[in-house]
Amino acid sequence: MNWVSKMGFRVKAILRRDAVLRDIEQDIRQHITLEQERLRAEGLSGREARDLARNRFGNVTRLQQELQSISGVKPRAERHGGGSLIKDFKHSVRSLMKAPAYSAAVVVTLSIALGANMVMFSVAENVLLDDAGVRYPSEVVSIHNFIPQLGEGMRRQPVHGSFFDRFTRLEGIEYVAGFRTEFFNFSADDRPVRLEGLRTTPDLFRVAGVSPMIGVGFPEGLVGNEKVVVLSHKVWSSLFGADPAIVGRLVNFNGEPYEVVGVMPADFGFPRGIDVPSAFHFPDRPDLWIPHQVPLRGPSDLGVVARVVGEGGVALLQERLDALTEAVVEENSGWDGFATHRVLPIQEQAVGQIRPIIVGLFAATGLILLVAAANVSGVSFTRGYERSNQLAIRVALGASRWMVVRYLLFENAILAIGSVAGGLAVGWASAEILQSVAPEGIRGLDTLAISVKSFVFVALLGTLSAAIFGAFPSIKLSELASMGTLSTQRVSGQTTARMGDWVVGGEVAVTVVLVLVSGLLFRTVVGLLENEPGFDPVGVMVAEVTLPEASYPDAARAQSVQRARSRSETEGAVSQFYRLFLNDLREHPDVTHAGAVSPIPMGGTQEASAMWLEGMDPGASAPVIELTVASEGYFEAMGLDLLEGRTFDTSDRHDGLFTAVISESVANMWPNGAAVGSRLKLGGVPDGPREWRTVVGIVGDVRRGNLAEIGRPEVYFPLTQGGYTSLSTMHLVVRGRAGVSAEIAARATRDALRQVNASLPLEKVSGMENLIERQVSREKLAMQLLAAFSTTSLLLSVLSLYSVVSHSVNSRRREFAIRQAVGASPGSVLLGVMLRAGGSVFIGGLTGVLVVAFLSPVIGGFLYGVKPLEVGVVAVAVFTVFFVASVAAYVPAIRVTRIDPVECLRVE
Amino acid sequence: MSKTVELVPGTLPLLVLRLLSDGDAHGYAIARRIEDLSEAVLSVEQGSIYPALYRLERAGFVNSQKGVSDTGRPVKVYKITSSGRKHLEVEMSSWNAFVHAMSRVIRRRA
Repeated sequence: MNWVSKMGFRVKAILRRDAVLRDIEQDIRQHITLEQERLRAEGLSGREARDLARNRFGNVTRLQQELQSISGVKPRAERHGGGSLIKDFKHSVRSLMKAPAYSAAVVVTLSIALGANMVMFSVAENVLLDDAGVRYPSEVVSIHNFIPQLGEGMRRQPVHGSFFDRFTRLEGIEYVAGFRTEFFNFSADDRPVRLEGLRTTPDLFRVAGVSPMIGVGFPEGLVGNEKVVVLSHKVWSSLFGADPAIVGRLVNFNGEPYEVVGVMPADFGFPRGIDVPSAFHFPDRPDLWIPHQVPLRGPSDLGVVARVVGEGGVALLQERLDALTEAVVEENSGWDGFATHRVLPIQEQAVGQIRPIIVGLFAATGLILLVAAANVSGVSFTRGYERSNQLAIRVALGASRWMVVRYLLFENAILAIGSVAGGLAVGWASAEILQSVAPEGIRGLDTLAISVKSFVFVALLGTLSAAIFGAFPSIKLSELASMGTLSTQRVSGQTTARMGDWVVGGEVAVTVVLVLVSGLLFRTVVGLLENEPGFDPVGVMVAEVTLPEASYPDAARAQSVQRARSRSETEGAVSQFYRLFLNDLREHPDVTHAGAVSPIPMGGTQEASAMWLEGMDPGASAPVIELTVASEGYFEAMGLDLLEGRTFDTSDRHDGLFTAVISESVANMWPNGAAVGSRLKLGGVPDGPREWRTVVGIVGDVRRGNLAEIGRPEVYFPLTQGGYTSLSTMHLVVRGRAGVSAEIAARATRDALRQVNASLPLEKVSGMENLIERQVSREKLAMQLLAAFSTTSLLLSVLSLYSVVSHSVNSRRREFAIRQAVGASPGSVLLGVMLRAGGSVFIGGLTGVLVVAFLSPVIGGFLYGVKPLEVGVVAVAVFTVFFVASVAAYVPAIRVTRIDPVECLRVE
Repeated sequence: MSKTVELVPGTLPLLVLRLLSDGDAHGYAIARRIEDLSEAVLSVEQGSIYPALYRLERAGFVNSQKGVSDTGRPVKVYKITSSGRKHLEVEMSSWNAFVHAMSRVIRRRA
């Protein structure tokens, strides 16, 4: 037979294997049957015939195998081994199942690390990438009035209405829109609901580049008194049952009919509260949009957004605004210092504050994953070392190095799949937990969605880490295995130990960094919360009430100085409402004090103004103060310290003397210290149009905008003499009797409100303490996440340290036995092991502290009342890590003292 | 059963080829023929003719096709090929030479 037909035969055998196998079986069966039949015909019984036929045929199995081998096919029995890939895979599964502790350790370790990364990815995706549905977010900017004299967080003020008209004529702006918040009470099934709307100039939707999903939006040529409304998707679906025929319907807001002209898409929520520099009650996402009067009249303060034209549009617009400022100041020196405007791209604004935190946390989770991968790499190397005999046997039996690597990689692939699945589970669960424990006030977290992208992210990350932890040990091991068993022992032992030291050192470093930073954040949160706010929040309930301007015309911000200045002969509707309502409330047995204020501390920023003191040197520059409107009873309800004079009372009437209460830091502006009884006037010049007000009392400074800052000058005007700011929305402050919960106080307040006006909803009911807590939500979230991450990292270090020490004790048994045999005490051997572990822990710890020192300028920016390398915090963090590390090392290390030298050496 | 003789190793293919040269047959029929013609003297495990058949087929001396037995069972029917016939001639002459030589030696001793 030549080689061609040989080949043909082989190919045929492979291709026709099943047919050949069947033929062989058939030949044998038929033969026996024929013989049986013949024997039956000769008169044998069925059983005898069968037995004899079989006997005469011979050994069926042996013959079958012989025929199969002649035919060149592999017998069926062998075929179950299948292809070598499947065989490897099965083998890997089996060997992993034989080492459940190892498999579980790897999967759990990586799952946790991947889960942490998934959570961070989702947070980043939700918080950083949210653009409120704006079409060209990179071209959209907000414009704010920048007043450098004001405190941090207050400098960015709304734009004065008179500037807005000038903006519309500026070069470099494609579209510009001005808006302010307006609350609308709506009666949904007889239950009053307050909606947060925007009154906006018509180009807002053009700035965003988004059209309504239903309807056409505002009609052309608006003047601003049209009663039309564009609804958000949320309001449309929750209050109007997603009625597809909503356009053209009349709906009642604040008791007035508005015609619905459009519904925006679901993701549209522009402008967000965060897009507006000075958020005096800007909603997080507007519920509805109604037209603002055009052209603007009066000093209405506006949030302003604009779409700039093309590349470099932002810089160009800033130049134009600077030129405008100069021109205005030249025209009217009264504007000096108040006419500066700044442009801020909305993308920067939205994520600017939180981005560093998220980037930092991302770095932390990245490090954790790296640590986890290193850890797993170490563990799998150790395990591999323990199996090196087995691998060497494989090599000796003819396995190629690639086959060994492939076998190991299979194991890793299986573990990686398990880890990715675990990571997704951990990530999903953590996201759920995070949503429930996360402090309020972090945008994007409440709707934290685990997206497809984050799934893909985790899968990629899992594969990557499998590659990291898998490839190196596999290649190294196959190298060792191919050297042969005996030489493997020593080399591998040393390599493992060295690798273990590195892994432990690196993990300890990462852990120290994370523990240290979360400790610092903890101190920051505690430090901020420990700050006396200047009032007593305990037992205080706060809520908001909005009075519609239609039925309470004096709730609107005064459109002219004259109106505000003239003493009204009749009491305003707002003032009357609060007088009746608060009096009712104070009579409730559970309530001790009740008042109204706008804005409330920790809940929005104020209007700022220059202030002129009577008798001040006419050449001096007027100080800037922040303005608060408060009712009688507010100071008592909030628990401010009265330092001198009196607070507001019934004598501060609409037709009485114009009065003011000032904060301590304002009182200090009077050179002779005699503030009470002196007069002040808003505006930067003594002969300005505003009225003179007599100071009747001095109260302590409060922390207003945030917990870190105190002592901003604050002037209080009585609610009865309001008119500078919009009084539409006021904050109720109700102090209950001792032991009265916020819920009871809220019920009392609701009851009283219903008595006065049943159509008004009570909104944002909360304890004053919660409002304070919200101030530290950012720090708290970062702290919570970091605390979780550092615990994870600490746990990983413990695992790794334990396995490294335990491996070293096991592999050096003989050495320890000899040492003890020649006279070393068990204690000194133990000390040796501990010192070796301690060395890598120490170097790791030191590295961690150095990293924090190196990053301290960055970290310091997030801290309050604590330095990045605060001795106490560093000591606690380092001690914690070292203590835990010592335990992790000691538990396996103690085994060296139990080595019986005689026993051990005899066995060896 | 009368006295039986073990088959000389390697001679089974020769027997099979020789029988097939009389006419096509299936495996069982061949086994039966060997028993009949040798008057049951040659002891052959019936199954052992199959390795012989498979090897002959693989060497191209016989080929097989589907057929039915006398009793109507589906069987493989073997047919000697022309190269099988040539091979048979060669084998037969060497066998004859072997037997001739063997008997000359054996008779003289006896």
